[in-house]
Amino acid sequence: MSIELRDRFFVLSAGDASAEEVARYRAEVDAADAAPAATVDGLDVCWHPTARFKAVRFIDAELIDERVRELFARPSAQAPYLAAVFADPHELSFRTFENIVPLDRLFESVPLEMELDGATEHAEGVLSYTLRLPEQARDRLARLDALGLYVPPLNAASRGGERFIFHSALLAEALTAAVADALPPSVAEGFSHVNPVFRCNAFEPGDANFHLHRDTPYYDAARGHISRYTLLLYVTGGTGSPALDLAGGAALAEIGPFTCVIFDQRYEHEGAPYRDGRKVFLRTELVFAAGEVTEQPEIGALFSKACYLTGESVFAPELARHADAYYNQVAAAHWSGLGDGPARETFVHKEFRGLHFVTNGYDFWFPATDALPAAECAAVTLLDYFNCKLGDTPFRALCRTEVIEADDAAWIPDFLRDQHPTLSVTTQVDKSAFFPDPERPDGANCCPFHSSGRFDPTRFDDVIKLYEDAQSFAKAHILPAPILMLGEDVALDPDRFVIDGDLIHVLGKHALTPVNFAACWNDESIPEDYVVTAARVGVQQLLVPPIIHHESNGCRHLSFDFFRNSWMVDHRQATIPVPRITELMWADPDDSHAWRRDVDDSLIDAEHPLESSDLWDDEDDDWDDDEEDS
Amino acid sequence: MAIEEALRAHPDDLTAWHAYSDRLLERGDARGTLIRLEQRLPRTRPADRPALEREIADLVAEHEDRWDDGLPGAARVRSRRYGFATEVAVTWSDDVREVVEQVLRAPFVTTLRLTSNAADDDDDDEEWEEDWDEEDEDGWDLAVDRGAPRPGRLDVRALAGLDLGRLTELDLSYLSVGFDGAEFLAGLFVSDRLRALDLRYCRVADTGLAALTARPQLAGLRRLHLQRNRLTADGVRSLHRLAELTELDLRYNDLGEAGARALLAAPFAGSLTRLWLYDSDVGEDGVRELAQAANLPPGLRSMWRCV
Repeated sequence: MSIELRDRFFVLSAGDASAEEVARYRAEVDAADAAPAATVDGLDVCWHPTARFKAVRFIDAELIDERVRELFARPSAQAPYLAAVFADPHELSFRTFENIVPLDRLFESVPLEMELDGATEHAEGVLSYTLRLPEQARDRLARLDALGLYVPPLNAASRGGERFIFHSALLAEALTAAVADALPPSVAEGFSHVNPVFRCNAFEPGDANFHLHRDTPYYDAARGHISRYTLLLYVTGGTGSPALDLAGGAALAEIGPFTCVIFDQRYEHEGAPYRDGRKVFLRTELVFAAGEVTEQPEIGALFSKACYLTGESVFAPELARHADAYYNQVAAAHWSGLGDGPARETFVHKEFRGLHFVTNGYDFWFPATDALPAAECAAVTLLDYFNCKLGDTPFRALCRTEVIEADDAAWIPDFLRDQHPTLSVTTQVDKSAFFPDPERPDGANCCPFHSSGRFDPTRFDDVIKLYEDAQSFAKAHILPAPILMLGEDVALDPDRFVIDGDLIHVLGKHALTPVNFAACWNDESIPEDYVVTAARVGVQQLLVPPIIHHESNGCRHLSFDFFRNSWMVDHRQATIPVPRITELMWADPDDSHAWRRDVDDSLIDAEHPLESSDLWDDEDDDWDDDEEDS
Repeated sequence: MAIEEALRAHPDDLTAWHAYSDRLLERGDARGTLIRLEQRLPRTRPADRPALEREIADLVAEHEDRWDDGLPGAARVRSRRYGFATEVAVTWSDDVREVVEQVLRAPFVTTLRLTSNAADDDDDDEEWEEDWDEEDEDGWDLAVDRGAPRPGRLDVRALAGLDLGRLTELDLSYLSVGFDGAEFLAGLFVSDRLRALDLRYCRVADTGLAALTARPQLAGLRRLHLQRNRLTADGVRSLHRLAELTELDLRYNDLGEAGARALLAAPFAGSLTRLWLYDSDVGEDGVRELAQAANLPPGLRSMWRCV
């Protein structure tokens, strides 16, 4: 049944099925329930769609636990390393909202020497070229359309054009060299590279136009980069009316295959489908050194609000409209300053376990009471912004949400005062209590085989060493975390929230350096079977800029400027198993609950090292035996 | 000496230590100088601290050898205050009573750790386990043969006549005390100063623990380690007499859900700051009880919600 649900998804995504068949399928999905099969990058995923797991993502299959990897479909014959996973849209946050498919492998071992030929200047800042490239490279670009990666979300209302986003450093590098050679000096000044994130778009004749819009410039203040020009690479040629219309600039009615159009991002533009065939093109940006750019925090605030409302629209669909309005205002503001936005501002009032707050996605207002210290307000803001999971449920799904439109924020203090008394929703734990010291080894304690049923793993030196290593790994993850998730409880570490004047610094990314610790054993079980899991602690690994904090009118007002880009922003949620030594005299390897099996290998890195495990050796042996038998 | 007794009772009384340093200086004891220097250290400018720390280190290096003259050779000093031994470890031996007695004559020893002789431990292990198993089979209600120590078990009666009343901390971890040994041990506490008791892996069982907790002099205990003592819910119930407990380690005892309930009914449940227990000690139902317990401090309760 689940296999069928999985495979029909891709058949129906091809778009040839009748509306009735699609409706029937959606009903089956809505009735399907399944536990997550794996966790990828902190996101629970399933290998087929269900009522909960509806957002499809294409990821490198190697990121999936190998024990369940084979269950996941590989829908693209051209890129078989890509697996399709289904995620819960409620769990998506700004980091996971877009699915950027890794496609570098498609361009490996392919000659990619490219040249832009036949330059034509259509208007100021509008250039077109023909891309010359080896046959194999043409073939790979042409194949993008056939990868089967245009999968509309299950809740999509209608089909228009299709698109997917991919990342390829190899393709970007080849285009960078070609563009650098071809750009006229007036445009080339400060050119750095072609953005390796591409959007692959496809339109059939009769599809709706890509409506008039401005592309949102890419800006990375940390690296001093900004995008100034859009690059469109038409993989197919055709005639449209017009196929590309740059308002106030140029209009291109006929476009040849492998035409490359580069235009200044100040141009509003619109694209029509070809009349005579399928229109497939890639879009990316030319990135320049951002010498004279002036940062406008207001634009960052607007963009932050737009992103927040996009995520929130999963819970309140009417918010998508408000988010669109903000995005358009942001794109225009980059070139002509902040114009008039929507007349009224959109706010969201949320109640989480009795705690009330109001936000517009950039500002967060809490009632100023002694029961709710600034650190807790900052924590709740982070939980909401990153939609962290508490137990199995995303934070936003645990909130009661109400959309409120208003002229300004003046109403908020009175509104919050009128709510029921606000309660503290977090606790504090002594993190070191997760890590009791090991017992003193007992030299008389031999392995299970030689101890005749009296083996005491809690005092066996090899097991104790493994326990200390496991503790060291878990400590390196848990001790620096500002926020812990204990089941559905949220625990704060007040020492990781440093309040300095009107700034709240959230410390979290500087992991403690783990301390590493370096017999007779003649038994079917191995020492690793004796270190088991005592608890599973969710940790929020955060790298965020300081949060601005003011108190006035009985309100705590917190502001996040995550999109100024002057700061690196990162957030990961991970579950860390806490080790203990089992009291069992014999740990059955066939029923192993070893701690090491609960460790997500993606959490092991230079800052959090862990010795490789012997637990899987036996399985390999078994596998070999099977192979030999057969 | 009254001042020494007062300092044992209030070891952080800086004024009393200062007064005591006068007496030490009068009799040419360098520890008088050490008290003055160490008390001056926190008040010294950071820039001048290294020089003062060097002066202290030089003084200690010159005199330390003589500071343990009153202690038996078998005693190992584990901690000091102003050069005086405060925590001492003694290996169990035939003359353990004499050694401990001499240790307890040192003016400021308030923490004692008795350790097993590793070689003896090895020899004893098999007999010991057999003994444990036998007790298991026959049940803990069997009358204890008080005429002779159990095979492989330490004869705790070797400590008969000792006055442990000045101790604030006693560590008997990994010694095979047994329940009868625990019963005997209880009688050695003649004051209520003891605050920490470590009985991990001592096999005292419910019976031995009940004998200890029945002793009113132990009612002031704050920290208690009881890992792997074959305790059950009955043992936990006997802890109810220790109303002042703040740290409790009950790991590796098969307490079951009834044990978890008994723990939550204890008068100290709401004031615990540390509680070490594993899910296997209390079972799934016990974990649920602890995760929902209204009378556990919230931080401790939350920890049970991720088990």
